[in-house]
Amino acid sequence: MIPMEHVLVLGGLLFAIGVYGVLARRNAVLILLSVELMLNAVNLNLIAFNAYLRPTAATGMAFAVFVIVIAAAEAGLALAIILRLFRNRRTANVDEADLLKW
Amino acid sequence: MEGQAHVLVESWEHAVFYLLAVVALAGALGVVFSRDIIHAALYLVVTLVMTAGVYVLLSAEFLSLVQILVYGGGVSILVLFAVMITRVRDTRVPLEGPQRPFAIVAGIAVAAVLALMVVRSDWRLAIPAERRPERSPVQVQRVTTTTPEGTVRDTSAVGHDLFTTFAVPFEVASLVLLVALIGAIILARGEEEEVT
Repeated sequence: MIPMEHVLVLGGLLFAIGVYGVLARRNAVLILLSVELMLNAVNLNLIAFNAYLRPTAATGMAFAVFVIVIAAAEAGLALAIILRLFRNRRTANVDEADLLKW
Repeated sequence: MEGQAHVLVESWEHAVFYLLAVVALAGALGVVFSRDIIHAALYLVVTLVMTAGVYVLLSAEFLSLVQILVYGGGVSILVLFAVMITRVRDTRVPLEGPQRPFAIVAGIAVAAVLALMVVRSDWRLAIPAERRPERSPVQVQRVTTTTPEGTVRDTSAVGHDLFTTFAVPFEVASLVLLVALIGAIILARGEEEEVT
């Protein structure tokens, strides 16, 4: 039996790596990849909680399905925005997209 | 004899889990440290597939398949297409900004806080009182997933919950997906007269 704490720590580490990626990268596609990493870590924790704490319910798995749906919608929309940004500004770096900066 | 077989299965389970965990973490580090966007996307696929393996160990087979189909298939292909269309790979500017030291500090801080929280919490309190184990082991033991009526937490249970308890959120989620994808198409298509 894998201790639940080990699964949770794995999820936490994946999440922290995603946080680092979101903050450190300046390319929008790479930031998006790091966000997917964080969502995936959250899913891992949801399923671990489901399996260890509420083994007779499927609530955690249902929540994970919703997270995956949101992640897919977010990826499609974010990539469309990145495409748009690239067409208008010839760049995909978030620090060069400063039109809203006063 | 049966006890030996049980221990053997358990040690295999441990070995597979730690192997999956190490590869998943290595893939995640590859995503955030890779110098090439295509490589980063492929590292992400590695991490997602390894996580799908952990889902199988946690007896969430349906989620594991959804993970590989939606994430490993759909999202990664979408990302690869976006990278190739925008040709960000050709730009020779650094992929990381000057804020990198702060990002390292933030990442380590988040990892430390989360790990500390997981280790220091008494997770038995999260189990309903009537099923809470008496002899308090420090770690939460996984309860068997079978009942006298058969398995309860399987794919059919997920489907049952999705279409009864979570019917309204399910419909809302499908609407969100539809609107997001239509929005993505409208954004990505652009105006006809636009010179790309």
